Amino acid sequence: MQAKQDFVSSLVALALILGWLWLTVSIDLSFSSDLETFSGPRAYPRVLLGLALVFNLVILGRAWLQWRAAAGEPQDEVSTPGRGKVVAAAAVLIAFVLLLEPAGYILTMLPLLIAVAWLFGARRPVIVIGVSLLLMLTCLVAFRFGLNTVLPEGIFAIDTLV
Amino acid sequence: MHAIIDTLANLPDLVGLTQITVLVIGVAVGVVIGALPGVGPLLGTVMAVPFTFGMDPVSSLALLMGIYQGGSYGGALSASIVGIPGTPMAAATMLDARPMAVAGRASEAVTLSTIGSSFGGIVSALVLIAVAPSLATIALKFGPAETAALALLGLTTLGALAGGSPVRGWLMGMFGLLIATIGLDPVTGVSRFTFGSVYLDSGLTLVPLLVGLFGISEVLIQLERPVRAKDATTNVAASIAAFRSVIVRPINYLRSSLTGVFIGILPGVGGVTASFLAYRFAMPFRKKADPEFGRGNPDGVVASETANSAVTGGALIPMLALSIPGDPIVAVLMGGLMLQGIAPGPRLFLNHPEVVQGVFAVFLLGAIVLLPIGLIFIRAIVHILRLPQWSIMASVVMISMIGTYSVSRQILDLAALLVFGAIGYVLRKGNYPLSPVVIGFVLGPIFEANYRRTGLISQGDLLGYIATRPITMAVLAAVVVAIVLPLVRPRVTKPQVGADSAG
Repeated sequence: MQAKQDFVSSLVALALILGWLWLTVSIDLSFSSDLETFSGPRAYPRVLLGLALVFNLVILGRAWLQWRAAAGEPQDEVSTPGRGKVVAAAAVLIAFVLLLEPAGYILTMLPLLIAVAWLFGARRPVIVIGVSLLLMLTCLVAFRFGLNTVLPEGIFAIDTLV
Repeated sequence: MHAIIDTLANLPDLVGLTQITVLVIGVAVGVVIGALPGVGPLLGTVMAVPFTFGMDPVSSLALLMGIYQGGSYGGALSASIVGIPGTPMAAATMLDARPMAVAGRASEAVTLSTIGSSFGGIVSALVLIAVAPSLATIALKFGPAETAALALLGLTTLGALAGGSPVRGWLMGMFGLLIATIGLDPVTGVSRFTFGSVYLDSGLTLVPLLVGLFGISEVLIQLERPVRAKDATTNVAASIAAFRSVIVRPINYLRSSLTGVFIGILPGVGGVTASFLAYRFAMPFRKKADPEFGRGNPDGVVASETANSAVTGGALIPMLALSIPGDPIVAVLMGGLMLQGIAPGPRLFLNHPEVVQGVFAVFLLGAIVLLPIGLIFIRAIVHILRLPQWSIMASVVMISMIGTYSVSRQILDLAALLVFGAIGYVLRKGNYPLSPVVIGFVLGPIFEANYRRTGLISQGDLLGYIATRPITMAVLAAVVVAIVLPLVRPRVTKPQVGADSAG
């Protein structure tokens, strides 16, 4: 199963490398075209991509051979019991980033901490909310007064309130 | 030697109770700041500059250098305990400190980091005192060709850090090098892979990459398969084992210290290069009784932490002697000196010898003071290890997000953080190592800019130009050895590194 996964991931990597190579065409050389040796603004990433292609083909070839060698053997199914939690965590993090500036640090960090705690198995709401509140406030004070970093105020900004 | 004896003899006159107090506060604050992913000693030193306005020059530098030294060490704490390097320099430390912590040797890992940091700082201070003006001239001999060759030497670690498959390490290194090309071309200024985005024009920054690749991916991996650091030994047993390492592994401590000092002298190369190079140099000398590198080898922790602390002293040499700040933090230190009306440079040693000696003394004391302060933090860490996993992970998420945001207060930094977090998760699921990505990303711009400048200077005759540069030729010879040696000696002392594991 690992060999099959390696093979598939190498194929995906191959597609990415080829796509990236295609993107190098859009690098505008303009006045610098006479500087374009094998170390120019376009040539340099192409050299790197060429090397990446070689390395990836080696990995792809090895994975193919291993997959073929393991073809007749019973394959263990890889279980991913936490995959749902990973997706949920990703959704929560994305929501935090999207809402941080409009809604502000306080309104976004507290739900984020509670959600992360919940995903990691915390099941006592009072303790979770209490600890999350404490962490959020400690961070706010530390960054605001210790490091002089103003965190997003969001809807609590003075001009919004007024 | 005379300079060292002089400085030690004059210590009581150079540094009083006020300076020592300020130094201790600086080191302690630096350790905390360094342990917070995304925050870092640079932000700490910048924030501390206003506090130095009313201080005398030596106290001012005591505070700033204390934060610098403490911060350089602090990254190892979060690297060991939660698998997220608090500073980029701790990425190499994490390769072995984290597996040690997961195996129940958290105290030993952190104690080794503390001792290594202190040792590296002390050696660095002694070198600084003894030979600062002479060593500064070495920095002047390093031009673009030499710097490019040195960056290439650093890149030879890519394959060595990838466990059983160097090819995966090289592939990830290429990925890191390619990410570093996003933005404006360093020589011509044309946009590369920016898709018209102003944010991408300035290139991706290290903090979102580092914290995302290691921090966010660690959180996601832990959701699927919780792994946590623990401490199965007593503090005393761990401390004894770690202190014994100075007697058992003296060559590693010395070699890594000198590597760090040398790399620190060179402007623009940095602590990440030093820590990974020192790690690489330690690999062929693995003791049979030790685990493989990357699976909890104490030498890996020692090499990396010793080197990245030794860099701090080395970096002061070109700043003091030549007025050349080698990295942003040293630039802040330089600013701190100038605020006191003292201009670094060759005349500093003539016009303000007492300030120079004060700097030396404070730096040496800072490295010494780091040891007891670090050991105090270890006791706190043992308590942290007992907290519920959910509270640790929630704190990690919070500090990662806010620490990254605080760098430049751009929401797109957080978007980059999440993208790299997703990439890190996918790579780890596919058994691809992450450290080579960081090395490629850090060394890529150094290598590309200097290599292409060399090409311009040589006016098309690259080989002929390099033939006139003996230092470049020597470093390139070392590059060839570093690449060829593992291939011709695969069975004798094959340096095996476990797959990149932060958990």
